[in-house]
Amino acid sequence: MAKREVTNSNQQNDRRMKTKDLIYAGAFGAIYLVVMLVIVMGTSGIAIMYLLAPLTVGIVCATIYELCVLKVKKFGPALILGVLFSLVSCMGNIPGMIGCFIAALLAELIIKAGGYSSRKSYLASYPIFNLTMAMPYTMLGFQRETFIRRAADWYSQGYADALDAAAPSWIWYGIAVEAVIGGIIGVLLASKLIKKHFDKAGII
Amino acid sequence: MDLTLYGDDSKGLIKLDPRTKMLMVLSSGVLSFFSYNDVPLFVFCTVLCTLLALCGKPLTALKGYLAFAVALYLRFCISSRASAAPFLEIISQVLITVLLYCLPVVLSFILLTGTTRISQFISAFQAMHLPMKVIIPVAVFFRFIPTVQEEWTGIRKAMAFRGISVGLGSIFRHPMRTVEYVLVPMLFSSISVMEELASAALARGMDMDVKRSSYQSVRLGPADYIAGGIILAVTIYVMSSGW
Amino acid sequence: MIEFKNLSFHYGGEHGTGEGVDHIDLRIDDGEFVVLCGRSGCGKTTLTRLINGLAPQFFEGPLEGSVTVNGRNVSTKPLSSISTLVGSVFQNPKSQFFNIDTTSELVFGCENQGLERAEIAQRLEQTVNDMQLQNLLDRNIFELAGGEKQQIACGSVYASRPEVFVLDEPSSNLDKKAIWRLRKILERIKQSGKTVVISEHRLYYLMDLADRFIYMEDGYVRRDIPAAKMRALSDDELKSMGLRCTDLSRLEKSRENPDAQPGGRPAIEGLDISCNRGNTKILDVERLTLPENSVVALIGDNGCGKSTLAETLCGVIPGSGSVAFGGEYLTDKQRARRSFMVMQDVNRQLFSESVIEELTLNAAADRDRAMELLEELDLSGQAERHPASLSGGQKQRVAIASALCAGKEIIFCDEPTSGLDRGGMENFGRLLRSMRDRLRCTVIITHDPELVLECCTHVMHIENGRVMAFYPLDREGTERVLYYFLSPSDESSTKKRENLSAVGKILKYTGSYRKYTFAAIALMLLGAASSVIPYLSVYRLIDQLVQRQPLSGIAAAIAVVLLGELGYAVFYSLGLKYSHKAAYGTLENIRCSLQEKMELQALGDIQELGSGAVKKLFIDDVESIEALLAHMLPEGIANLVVPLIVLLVLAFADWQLALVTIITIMFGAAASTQMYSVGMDRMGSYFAASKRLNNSIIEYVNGMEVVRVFNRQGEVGQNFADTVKSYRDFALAWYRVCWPWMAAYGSIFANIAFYTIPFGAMLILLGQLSLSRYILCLCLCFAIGPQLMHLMSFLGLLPQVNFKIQALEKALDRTALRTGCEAFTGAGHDVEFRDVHFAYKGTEVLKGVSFTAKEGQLTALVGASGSGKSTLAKLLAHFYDVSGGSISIGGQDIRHMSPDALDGEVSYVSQELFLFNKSILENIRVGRKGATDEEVREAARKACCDEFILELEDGYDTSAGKAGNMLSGGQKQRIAFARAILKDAPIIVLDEATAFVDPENEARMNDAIKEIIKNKTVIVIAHKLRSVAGADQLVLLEGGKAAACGTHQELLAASAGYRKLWEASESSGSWSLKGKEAEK
Repeated sequence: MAKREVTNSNQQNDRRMKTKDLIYAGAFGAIYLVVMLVIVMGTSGIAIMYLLAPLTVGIVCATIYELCVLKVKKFGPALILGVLFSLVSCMGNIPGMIGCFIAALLAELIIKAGGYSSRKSYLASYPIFNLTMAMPYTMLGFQRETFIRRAADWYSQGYADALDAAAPSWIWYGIAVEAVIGGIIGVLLASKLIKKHFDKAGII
Repeated sequence: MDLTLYGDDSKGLIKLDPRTKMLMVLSSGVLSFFSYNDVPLFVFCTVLCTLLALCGKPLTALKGYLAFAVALYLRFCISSRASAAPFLEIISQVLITVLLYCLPVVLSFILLTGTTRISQFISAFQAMHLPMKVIIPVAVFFRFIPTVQEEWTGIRKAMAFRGISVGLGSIFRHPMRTVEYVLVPMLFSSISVMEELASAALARGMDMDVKRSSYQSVRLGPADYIAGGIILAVTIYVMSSGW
Repeated sequence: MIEFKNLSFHYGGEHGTGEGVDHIDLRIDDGEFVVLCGRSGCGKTTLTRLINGLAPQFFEGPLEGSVTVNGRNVSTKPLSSISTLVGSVFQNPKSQFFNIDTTSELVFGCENQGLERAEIAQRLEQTVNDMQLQNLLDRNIFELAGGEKQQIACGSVYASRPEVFVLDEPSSNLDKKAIWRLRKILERIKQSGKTVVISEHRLYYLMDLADRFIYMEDGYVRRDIPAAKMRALSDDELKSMGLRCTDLSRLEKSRENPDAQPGGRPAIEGLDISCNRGNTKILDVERLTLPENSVVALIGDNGCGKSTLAETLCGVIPGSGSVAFGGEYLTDKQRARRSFMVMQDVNRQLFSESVIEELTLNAAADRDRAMELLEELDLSGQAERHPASLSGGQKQRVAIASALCAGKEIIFCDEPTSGLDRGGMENFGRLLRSMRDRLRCTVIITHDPELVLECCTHVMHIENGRVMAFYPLDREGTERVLYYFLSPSDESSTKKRENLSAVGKILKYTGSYRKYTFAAIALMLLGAASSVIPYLSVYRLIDQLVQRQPLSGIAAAIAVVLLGELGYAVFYSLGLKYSHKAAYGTLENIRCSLQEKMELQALGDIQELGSGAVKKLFIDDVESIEALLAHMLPEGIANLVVPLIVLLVLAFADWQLALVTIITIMFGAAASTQMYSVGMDRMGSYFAASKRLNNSIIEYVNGMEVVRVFNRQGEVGQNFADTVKSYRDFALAWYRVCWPWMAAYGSIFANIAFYTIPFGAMLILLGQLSLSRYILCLCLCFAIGPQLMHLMSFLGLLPQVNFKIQALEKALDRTALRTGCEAFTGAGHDVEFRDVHFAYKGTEVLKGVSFTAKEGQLTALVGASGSGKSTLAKLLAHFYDVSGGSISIGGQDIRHMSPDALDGEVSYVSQELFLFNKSILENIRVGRKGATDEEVREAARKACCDEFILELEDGYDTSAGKAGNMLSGGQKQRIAFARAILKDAPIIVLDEATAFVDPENEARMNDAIKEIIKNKTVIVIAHKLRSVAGADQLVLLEGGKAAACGTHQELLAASAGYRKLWEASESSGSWSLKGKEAEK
C-alpha cells in the first residue's frame, strides 16, 4: 500500500466519550469481570483466600484496567468499569454499590488531574479504583455489629466479647488497605507489561 | 464457569418484566440485613421461591428453598446446644449466617438473569429511560463475556502446546510470568475483537446520541403489579418486625 | 451512485501506519455489482471503509478529495445516518455481531434507525423469507457455524434496507456450503436492484454475478475490467496480478507439488477416536492412518468435526481412543508436547515481546538456531519486533517457526489461508512443501481448493464426525477433490445443540412410562425411610437400659421393628416392580426410536453394518442399559435422600457429631469422585475394545466354514485370541485404575460409625453429650452406611449408561437417505442416469456415469469385475444416495419420490435372497401383498419354481426354514424371480439373476425372462456376455464411467474394451475338458 508520512493532527480536545469508547469500556468490563471471578472462585476454595481476594485481584487486573483507560483516554471508562463491577459483585448491597461508584469517581478525577496525557496519573488511579474490590465486604463491617449484638442477646456478653476479639472492628479497614496495596503491586506489574508489550506493539 | 446469561422466560407460567425482577434483587439485598428474624425471612423466601418457580425454574426454586430451610434448621440446632469448642461453634454459625445472607440475593439474581433474555434487559433499560451511556456498555458487557470465555479456552490450548502450565505449581513458582502468559494473549486477542465489534456496530448505525427503538417489547403487566406489590409488602413486613 | 473524486486517504491518528489510497477517481452506478481485487495491502479494504464512512470517522487520518454516495458526502455525515444508505458486512463472522441471539441481531440495524416495532416486524419477516433463515431464528449466535453467522450478518444488513451493500471479504472463513449460500444471497440482493461493492480474494464464486472488477495496486486503481474480459484472463495473467483463480474447474495440481511416495510407516494412527460435547457424541472415527511425511488436507463442512478431530489428535481436548505417533501410543499430554496447532486466531498463541523471544520460549533451541529459522521463513528483519505488530501472514509464520524451533513432529493448521491473497497462499504452500521432510506429518484444515492443490499430498474428507474418505492427491484424487469443491450442496444447517444432562437423556426416553419411574422413586423412598425406623425404636430400648429404667414397651418396640422391616420389604418390592416396568418401557422406547432412525438410513449403510452388529445394537446394547435403569434411578435417589434426612436428624441430636459424620462422608465422596474422573478416561477404550471383540466373534463364527475348508484355523484362531486378550487388557487396565479408589470409599462408607465413636466418647467425657444421645447418633450412623454404599455403586454406572446411549444414538446417525414425499409423476419409465458419482467406503467407484435405459428395452450393463455395475443397480433401487449427479425415472428424480412410490416402480432381483420363516407361498406373496393364491402359483410357474416346490413335503405350504437353509442357491433365485414376476413393476433390475442356476433351468429361466420383460424397462447385469448380447442397449462400464453405449455390433466395432471382454467370454465359453478334447 502506498505509505505516506502522516503528521498527527492536533489531539482531540474533546474528552467526552463517544460510542466507540462506550463499546470499549463495556468490553474491557467484561474481561475485567471474568478474570476477577476466575480469581475469586479459584482461590475461595481455601477460606482465608477469600479475604485476600482484593490483593490478588488487584495484582492481576491492574493491567486490564490500565489498558482500558489508556485506550479510551477520556472521562468515563473507569466509571463504567466501576458500575459494571458493582452490578455483579455488590448486587443488592446498596452501600457497597455507592462505595464502588465513589471509588471509581475518585479514580476518574485522578486521571483528569493528570490532563489525560500523564502516564503516571493513569497508573496512580488504579489503587483507588481497586477499593471497589473491598466494597463487597462492607457487609462484613455492617453485619458484624448486628451479629455481635445478637450474640449478646442469645448467648452471653462473654461470648460476644470473644467474638469481638476474634473479628476485630477494623477488619473492613484492613481489607481496604489490602486492596490499595494490591492495586499498587498490580500497577507496578502493569506498567512493566504495558511497556514491554502493548507500547511496543503499538496498540496503545 | 457458565454464567446463565442465556436464560429466557419461555418456560415460565408467568412472565415478569425485568424491572420487577430488579426490584426483587434490590429488596433481597436490603433484607439481608435483617436475617435474624426467622419467620419474616422465611416468608420472604417463600415468596421468592414461588416467583422463581412460576417464572420457569421450579427445580432451582425447590433446591434453593430446601437449602434455606436446612440452613435455618441447622442454625437452630447449633444454637440449641452448648458446645465444648466455642470456636467451632462460632465458625459454623458464621458460615451459616453468611449463607443465609447470600441465599436470597443469589436466588433473586438467578431469577433476574436466568429467566430474562439479554434483549429484554436492554429494552427494559431503554424503557426506564436510562441514558445510552449506560445501556451500550452493559449490552456490550453481556455480549463480550462468552467471547472472553472462548478466548480463554483457546489460550489454554495454545499454552498446552507450548508447555506453559497454569496450575498451582506455576502460580507459586513464578507468579508474575504466569500472569503475563495469561493476560498478554487474552488482551491482544480481545482488543482486536473489540475494535472489529466497535467498527461493525458503528457502521450499522449505533450511535449514543441517536434514539433507538426496541423490537423486544417489555411492558408492565398485571402480573408485575401484583408481584411488585407482594414484594414491597413483604419487605416492609420484614423490616418492621426487625426493629 | 457512488463517486470518488480524486480521493486520497492515509491512516493517521495515534497508531496510524501511514498506508492508504491515492488519487482515486471512480464511479459506480446504481445496481452495479463491483468486485475490488488485488494483492493484500493494495487498498481494497480501505476503499470499502471509505464508502461506508468508517474511514475517516473511525479509522482516523487525513482525507483529500471527496467520496459521495447518492450525492451525500459520507466522510463528513455522521455514521448513523450513513448506515441507512450503506450497509456493511465484515470479514470476521465472530466479531461483527452485537447481540447474543439471532433475532435481536437481525433487527439490530432497524432498531438503530429508530423504526416502529410493527415496521421492524414486517422487515424481519421479509428478510427471513427472502434469505431462508427460518432455521436460524431464536438461536444463540455463539452456537452457529461460521457460515450461518455470516448469513445472519447479511440478513441484518438486508433488513435495514440500504441502497448500497459493502462487503469486506465475506467469504474468508466460510466453507463450501456457506459460500454457495452467500452467493445466493448476493444474487438476491443484486436482483432487487441494489448496488454491491465487494472486496475479495476468492473470485471464483463471483464470476457470474459481477459486472466489473476493479484491480488495485499500491493504493491506486490500476485497471477496471469488465466481467467478460475477466473470465477470459489466463491463469498466468492472474498470477502476475497476484489474483486467485477465477474458475475452479481450471485448477490443476501445482507443478511443484510432487505425488507422495506410497508405503512408508504411518505417522499418525488413531483407533476408536470419539469425543463428546454436551452429552452428544460428535466424533466417531474407527480407524485413522496418516502416512509419514505427508501433508493432509482435512476437508468437510463447518461443524462436521474437523477442528474437533484435529484437537483430539493433538491431545488438547479430552477424547477417548488411542492415538499413536510414529507407532508409539501416547497420552494426551505427550501428544500435546509433540504436536502443534496453528490456530485461526493466531493472536492467542503469541506470548512474548519479540519474535526471537517467541521462538526460544520453552524451546530447546538456542538463539542462533532461531535466527536460522527466521532466515528461512523470511522473517529475519522482524526478529526484534513485537509479534502483535506483524501482519496476519507473518504472525502465522512466527507460530510455525516457534513450532519448528521446539522440535515438534506434527503440525496442524486451522484455516491458514483464509484471508490471504494468491502470493500469500503460494508462499504458505511453498513453506509447507519445504517442511515436508522435516516433519512427521502436517494436517491442514482448509476450505481453500487452491491451497490443497498447491501443497497437499493426501485428502481426508470428514462428514458428521466420521471419516468419509481418505485418498492420495494423484490425478484421480485431484479430480475427486475438485468435484467436491465444485458440486453444489444441499441446504442443511447445524441443529440446535441439545444440552441434556445424562439423567435428562434417560428421562427423555422414558416417555409415557415416566409415572412409573416417579412411583418407583416414591415407593423406594418410603422403603428406605422405613428401614431407618427400626434403629430409632432400638434406640429407645437401649436408652431405657442405659438410664436404668425399667424396660417398658418392649412389645411395642419389637412391633415397630418388625413393621419397619416389613414396610421396607413391601415398599422396596413394589418400588422394584414399578421401576422394572419403567425400565422395560424405556427400553421399548429406545428400541422404537432406534428403529425409526434406522428406517431413515440408506439401506446400503445398514447392510454394511451387518446383521450381527445391528442385532448387537438392538438387543445386547439396549438390554445392558436395563439393569442400570431399573435400579439406578429409583434406588439411587432413595439412597441419596434418606441419608440426607438422617443427617438432619443427627444434626438435631448433636451437631458436632453430625459435622464429623459429614466430613467423613466428604472424604468418601472425594475418593469416589476421583475414581469417576480417572475411570472416565479409560471407559471409552474399554467399550471400543468390547465392540471389536463382538465383531471379531461374529466374523469368526460366520467364516468358520471357509476357514475349515482352507485350513486356516491357526491364523484366524490367533487373531481371535489376540482380540480377546486385548479386551481383557483394556478391561483390567480400567479396573486397575479404579480399584484403589473403590477400596478407599468402600472402607470409609462402610465404617462411618468408626470415625464418630472416638469423638462421641470425648464429648461424653467432657460432659457435653449424654450417653443415650450418643447411642442414637451411633444408630443413625449405622443406618447411613449401607445406603451410601449403594449410592456410590450407582453413581459409577451413570456415565456408563450415558456413554452407551450416546454410542447407540451415534451408531445410527449416519446421513439419512434423501427421500421426498411425492408419488410417481414421471412421464414414462425411462431410467436416466445423469453424471452419477458415487464413492463407496472412501474410494470413488462411479465417476460420472451417464446413460439412459429406455422403456420397453433391455439394457445390459457389462464391464470387468468391480467396475460398478452392481453399484449402479443398487443406486437405482436407492440403497444409497448418489454423491453427485442424479437418477431419474420418467424425468422425476428418485430423491423426490416417496420410498413407497419408488418401491412400486422398481423391482430389484439381486444375487442374495432372504426368505422369511413362513411358507413358500407366503414368501412369494411378499412380492405383492394381497395377491391371490392362484396368482402366486402362476408366477411360480412362470419362474420355473413349480416343479421343485411341488416336490417338497408340504408343497407350497412348506416352511422355508430359517433363511432358506433347505433350498439350494438356484432354487432360491427362482423364488426371487417369482416374487419379481408377481410384483410386476414397470422397471426390473436383474443383478446376475441366472448366476446360480444350472444350465438346464437356465434356458427355461431365460424364456421366462423374455416373457416378463415385455414392455418394461429392464436393466440386466451379467457376466455371461453371450446371454445379453442380444440386448437392445449395452453399456460398458470402464474406469468408473460409461465408456461406450450401443448394440453388440456397434460396441464390437467401436470399443476395444468391449472387444476384449467379448473375446475372453467367447474363449472361455468354448472351454471343454481336456480329456474330451483329446478324444475328439
